[in-house]
Amino acid sequence: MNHPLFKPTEDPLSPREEAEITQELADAYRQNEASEKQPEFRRIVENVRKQIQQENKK
Amino acid sequence: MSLPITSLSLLSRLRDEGDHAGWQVSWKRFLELYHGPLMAMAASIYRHHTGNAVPPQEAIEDVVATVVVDFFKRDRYDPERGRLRTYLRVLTNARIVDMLRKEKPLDHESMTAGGDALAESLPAESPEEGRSFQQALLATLIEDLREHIPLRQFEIFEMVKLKGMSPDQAAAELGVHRGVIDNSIYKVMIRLREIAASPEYQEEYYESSSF
Repeated sequence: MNHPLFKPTEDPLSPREEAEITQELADAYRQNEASEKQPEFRRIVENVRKQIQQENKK
Repeated sequence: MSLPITSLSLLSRLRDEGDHAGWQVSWKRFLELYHGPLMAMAASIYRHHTGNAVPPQEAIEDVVATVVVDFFKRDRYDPERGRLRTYLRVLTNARIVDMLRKEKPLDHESMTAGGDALAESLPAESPEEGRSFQQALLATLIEDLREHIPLRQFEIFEMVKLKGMSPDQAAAELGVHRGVIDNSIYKVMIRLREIAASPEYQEEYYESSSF
């Protein structure tokens, strides 16, 4: 359990650790930004909406 | 129960308080953040119960949608009792088992067993699930960060750290001195690590946990 993101905040990050964290965050950010454009995501959103509407009718 | 105000706990709070508008916003946001790991979970669990059959895309999407509705409908998830990723895997497993029973369960030769034994057979987390969940958690962390720092600081962090713009470019674009950029990044990185230090992030991040 030693990912640099979870080092105690009083321990300074090395440049390599900060670069590693930055890269992982940037990847997660891009992936998340792209998710709304994926057809599978839009289909699931519609599916959830339909299920909610059915729940509300009950 | 006192929890840090992070996106993870915010989701639970919105659901618990029956905030309808918040509920509508939060399921969509939750799906944006977690549909990747949910898809990976559903595919992996499907393969486990069917002797490595290829998961049908439409069925997997249907399972993910049902898990999201279940997650927000049921008032069962309590962060103090277990990890979010485990809870989502249990829900996903139950929905996969339901789906396979509706199909012809006996056609799936390698189903481990019928009835309750099948429902209880939760496979080990696959590496793909683990990676996908970690990525979703980091996106949640960015969301939390946005809520906890001034907008201008987040904008600078986003330009330089998330979008890869050079500090000099960011300074020119925003019409500020380079020192403002460096100072903002320094402050944001400290705040980021403070938020990441909350137990819920550490407990959720790692694949196996003693929590």
